[in-house]
Amino acid sequence: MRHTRTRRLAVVFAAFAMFATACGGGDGETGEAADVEATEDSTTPAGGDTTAPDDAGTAAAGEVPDSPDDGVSSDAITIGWMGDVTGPTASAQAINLSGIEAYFDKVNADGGVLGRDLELVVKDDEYGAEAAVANFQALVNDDRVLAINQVGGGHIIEAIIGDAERIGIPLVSVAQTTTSSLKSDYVFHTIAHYFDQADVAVARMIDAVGSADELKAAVVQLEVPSGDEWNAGIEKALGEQGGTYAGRITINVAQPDAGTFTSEVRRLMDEGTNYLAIHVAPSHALFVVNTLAANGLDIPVVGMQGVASLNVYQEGDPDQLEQTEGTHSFLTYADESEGGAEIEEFITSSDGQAYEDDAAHINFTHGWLGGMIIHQAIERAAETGELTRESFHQALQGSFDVKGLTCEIDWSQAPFMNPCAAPFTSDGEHMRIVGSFDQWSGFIQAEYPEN
Amino acid sequence: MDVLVPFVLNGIAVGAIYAIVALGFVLVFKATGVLNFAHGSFLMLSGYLAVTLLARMDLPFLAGLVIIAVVMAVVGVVLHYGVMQWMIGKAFFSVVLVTVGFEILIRAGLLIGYGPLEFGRLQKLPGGGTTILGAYVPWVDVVIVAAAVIVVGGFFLFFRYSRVGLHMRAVAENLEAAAAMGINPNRIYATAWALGLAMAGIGGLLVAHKAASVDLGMAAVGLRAFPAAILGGIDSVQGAILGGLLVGIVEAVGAGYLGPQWRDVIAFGIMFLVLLWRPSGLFGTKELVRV
Repeated sequence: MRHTRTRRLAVVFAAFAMFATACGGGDGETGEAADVEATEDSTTPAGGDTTAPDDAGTAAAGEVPDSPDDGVSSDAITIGWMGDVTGPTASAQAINLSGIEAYFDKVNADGGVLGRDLELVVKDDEYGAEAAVANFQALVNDDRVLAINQVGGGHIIEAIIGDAERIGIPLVSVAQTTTSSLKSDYVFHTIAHYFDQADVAVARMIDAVGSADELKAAVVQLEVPSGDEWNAGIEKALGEQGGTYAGRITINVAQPDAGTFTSEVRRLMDEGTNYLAIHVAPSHALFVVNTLAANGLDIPVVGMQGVASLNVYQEGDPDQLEQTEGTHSFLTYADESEGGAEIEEFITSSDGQAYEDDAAHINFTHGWLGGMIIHQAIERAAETGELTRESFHQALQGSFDVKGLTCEIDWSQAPFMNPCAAPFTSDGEHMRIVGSFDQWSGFIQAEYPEN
Repeated sequence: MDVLVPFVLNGIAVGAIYAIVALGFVLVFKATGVLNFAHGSFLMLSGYLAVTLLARMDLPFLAGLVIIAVVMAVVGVVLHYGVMQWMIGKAFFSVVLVTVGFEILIRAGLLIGYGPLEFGRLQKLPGGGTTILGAYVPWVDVVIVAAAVIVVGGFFLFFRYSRVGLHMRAVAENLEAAAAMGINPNRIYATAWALGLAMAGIGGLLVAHKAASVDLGMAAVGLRAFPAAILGGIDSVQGAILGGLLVGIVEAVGAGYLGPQWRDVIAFGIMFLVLLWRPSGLFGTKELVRV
């Protein structure tokens, strides 16, 4: 009898399998620029007072009336967070969430802002655009949030950016840049664009080998559009700073092939390549590092933000990691800065102990910094006498006191970017910057692809 | 030609894993009639178990393999007696939903227990590699294929020549007749779950040595074994092996030449074509329709 249902079951099964595969088909990247079409012209609405409050940890000067439609009630100011907490990029994005949660906990423990608590409404999209769109609608229409943080995934930004602009809700400290987001008045970036990171990566490679003449670098990239963008950025930076572009190797996202990868790297090394510039998610960074080590391929590596993951340094081959660095835009508390000292003070307090492990990751600072900027913009907006999405959006268009956690952020002019990056490595317990942001900022051209 | 060979060799290693995983899936279906949608998650569970045993506790590969296979077999037995035996005779989709529930529980449990961060690919197998037909092949791939041959060969010997294997085939062939001959179907079902999950466990251990990392995306490998099982014939043990190898090789070659975006299209495209041509798969039992 079972045999007679085989056909029916097989067809049902096939349909389910395809559906499930499609649902789980993230490319494993996060915090990356995607290759997307531009849709909007950029204009810069007039900003208000563009001076950051002296101390974001103190109560704001003015009081504001409730504005329930803008996430401002008598006892809370509600901010939305949408990203991947349980899906394929959760290893990166969940740390961002931890960072902003920690910052809000700190502010609330200190008495809140404008006499209200900062409240975070978290929506998990598992890196899927459909879920993200539904989450966005819920945050905007049901939770009535003031602004949204994170929005991890270039495809997700693209899915909601039009509605965000139409509704007028700011997306603050998003997890990546896209061509559309660069041109939007409602997207505010704290992380450097791939081209900025590529500028720094090439500068670092030249610094390491001694001179541009001695550098022959190859790109290793995931087979995704943002990988192509990284490759273009490296090629462009090599053209500007010097050094030889030796070609590129692509890695299959779903099933990286160690044999082909090893053969390709060996061939490039035989031809004189002496550095790899890699574009990977943390999981693929582990693949690259461990495959190089397992096959005796002794070559230094510098990569984009996916490499600058503490987890890579804790799980990867230690010998190869001694010559592996990744670029990123934020300091952890282990490097000296005013903001880092605040983080350290909080995570060693009774209120913040739960965040101690996460705080060693750079993405924690990214989340924390997003919270800081939101806090400062709320206080600035309140100085106009009202706190609404519109006044908050205006308040974002200025400079912010980032307390040394990244370069100075000034969003007075569009695009609202933070062209700031440096190489990072790890001491085994924290991610640590190589040099300082100032040392590398001179190499950043802040020139981005049009499409 | 020099590109084709490495693609094929990598496809064989991937296909060997698919074959083991598909074999476990088919075994459970053949014996119990349950489509276990959590099969990929059990594979993922064993991958995390491998991290604990091999990376954290530093056990050798073989010890880890045995422990994981035994643990997963025990999980299979517990699963059957604890849950699945109560679902016998229930509506098909109810049973399917139970397995979907397992999938959700496993994923949530791993997220809670291990956190969202990925773990490095296990490195308990020899590093380096060798050259086959002019293509570099990592030793990891060689060991994976060898392990698959041993596991599948062992299973076939068990299935064909052991008393329990005979009982399993009898129950699969004709439940009522087997029960009338004194075979306890419930015990056979439990054995099938045990063997099926042990296969998933071994597959998970191997994947943990080949994948980029051990993370919550590992279940997708199990999902890719589904078209392999259907391609071979969802009730055919031999078909699962061939289907696994076929899907692995065609995927690797096709995606290598056409691009990674074609990987799923190729795997599921082949499956649909075969289903149109032979609805019961390449080696599945043909339907008899009485009119």
